[in-house]
Amino acid sequence: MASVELRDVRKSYDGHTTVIHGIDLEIGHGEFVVFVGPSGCGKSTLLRMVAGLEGISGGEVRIDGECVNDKLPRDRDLAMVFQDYALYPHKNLFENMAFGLRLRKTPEAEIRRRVGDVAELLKISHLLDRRPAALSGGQRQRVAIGRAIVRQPKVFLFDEPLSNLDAQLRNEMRGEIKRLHQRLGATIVYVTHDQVEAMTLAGRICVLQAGRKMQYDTPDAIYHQPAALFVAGFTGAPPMNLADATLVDGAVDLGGARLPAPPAWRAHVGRAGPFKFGVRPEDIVLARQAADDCALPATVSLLEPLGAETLVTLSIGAAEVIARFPAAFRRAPGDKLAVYVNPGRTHLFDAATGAALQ
Amino acid sequence: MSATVAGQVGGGLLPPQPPPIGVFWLFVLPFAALTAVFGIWPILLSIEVSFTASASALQPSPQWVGLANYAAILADPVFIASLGRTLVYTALAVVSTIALALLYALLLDSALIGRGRTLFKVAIFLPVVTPDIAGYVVWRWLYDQSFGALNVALAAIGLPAFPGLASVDTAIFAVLVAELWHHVGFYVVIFLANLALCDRGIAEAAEIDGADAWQKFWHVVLPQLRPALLVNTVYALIQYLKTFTVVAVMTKGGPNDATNFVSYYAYQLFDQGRYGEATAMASILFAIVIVLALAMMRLQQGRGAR
Repeated sequence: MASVELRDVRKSYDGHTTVIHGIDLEIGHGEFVVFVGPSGCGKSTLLRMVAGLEGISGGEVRIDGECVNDKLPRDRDLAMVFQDYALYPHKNLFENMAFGLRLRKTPEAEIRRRVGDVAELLKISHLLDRRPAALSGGQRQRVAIGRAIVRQPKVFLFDEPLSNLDAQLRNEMRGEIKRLHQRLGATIVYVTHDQVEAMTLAGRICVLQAGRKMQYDTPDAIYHQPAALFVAGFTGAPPMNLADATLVDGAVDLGGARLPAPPAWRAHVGRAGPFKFGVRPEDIVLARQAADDCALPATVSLLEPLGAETLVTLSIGAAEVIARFPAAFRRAPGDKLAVYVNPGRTHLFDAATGAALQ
Repeated sequence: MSATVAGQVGGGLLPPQPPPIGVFWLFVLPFAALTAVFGIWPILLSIEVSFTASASALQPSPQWVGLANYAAILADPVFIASLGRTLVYTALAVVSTIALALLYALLLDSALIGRGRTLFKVAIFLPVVTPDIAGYVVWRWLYDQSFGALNVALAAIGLPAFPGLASVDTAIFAVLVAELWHHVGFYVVIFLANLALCDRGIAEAAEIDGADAWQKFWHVVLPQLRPALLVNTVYALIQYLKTFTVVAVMTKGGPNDATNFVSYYAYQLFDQGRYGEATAMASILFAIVIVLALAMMRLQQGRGAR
């Protein structure tokens, strides 16, 4: 276990194409941190900079307080699980897992013990004499994880390890990775573009966009107090509803429908904006839940039954929003109804800068 | 119908349909005919001639002599020496060619060579497309004892002269250097093609696992280069066992038979009208080439299966 610290880490190619713009973050001992963001946001590059597989154009990477900028990957005592497994095709599974230990001149008996234990843990003991080509995707990823665990490194790095698996296997492996972390208590840095993976696995999430850190916080805070428009729109399935809004006379105007602005927003009343109003689908309800819930007139435009619930697209003023209603919701497109929103559970963003407004 | 559905699932692209069988034969037949007429047929004729008396070998009704030609050449000390020399030269040349080509390809593939990569690629491949006779004539001049550039250069830096083609001890190496210059580029291209297919992720995994540059090469890169190693080794074996042009141009088999390989010796006998013995030598060489090539392929397939 070790801590990892990034201090103003930057990466640019040819001196002018900058892909990582000065990122600072601290990862504590035994913490599970997920870098999440869309394709091209720089999350894998950042992970590879921690691994030493990519050079650093500026700033510092520290592991356990020691600057490792000039250390080769093999001297950083990390283990990495790659998206495409990166198993040694000509070695059997035992040798794949033992390779790192052999390079470190670990005694043979110790190698056998460690590989045996990890194979047992990952339920791949019966496959140890096979080659990677003879395995399924899920089995290969277990071996890749086993190869990382067996080394007992300071930090584990996972680069989109579940992306090549089908949906069912991905869910299973996600659970296994979480159980492994609970059992090993290791420091893990995990990269994914899947916000569900990030929310379910992470102790803290770093949301990245275009090489910039948008928010670094717990999954709960990322979800309920997004610091930026991008974070609000990236997390949740479906994500937060975001609509153009103006602040008029102490109310949020959604182009015809008005909602009292929470007291904290009153400071922004009178500002020209433009603003983005945000509300999570589950925060739009069919009946008043609290005294300060406000009614809004809505028109049903689309129903998407999911079995356990129904996603309903509603027109409220000029805005179109998705609400998460119970499966028993029985209305037809075109029906008019009143929905309730608690102003305290809504969000306001500066549409120009994307920053959340308090 | 199923093809349409598969196409839609795959993003609107229809799976490729197998071409009609006629198209297959249209492409195959011309080359099959050329191979049969100019490849297989002459080999069979040559083997046939090796069982006939030289005096009647090219006549409509040749005199069959059974294995007499084979017995004659196996009793010929010059042929035995030539065969041994050919095998030693082949071993030396195959190892040097593969090692040099691999080293050069790895350098070209590495970050060590930056913008000059294309220049180095052209430099190594240019000799391959240079007419071999022209190239070897230039090498003969380079080695010349009186005015050759090599010895002029050696003298300029105070080193003793290199006997080159003039000495029994050095002629075979001088010939080898010229052949390496001419052929290595071809093998480099094959290695480069294989290197382009190597999985870089595996090398990175090894780096993280703790491998240094040599361990990465030995445990990760080399095993992935097995296909190119097999193709190059088999091709080099065939090429060097048949070594002829370089000898014909540079040494005529000399000095004192030091570079008289089987192909050239067979050619000399053929020139003297000893067709039966010459073709018997060619047949033995052909058999050695086939056996070695098959053995290499079997060895490689065995390794791949384990």
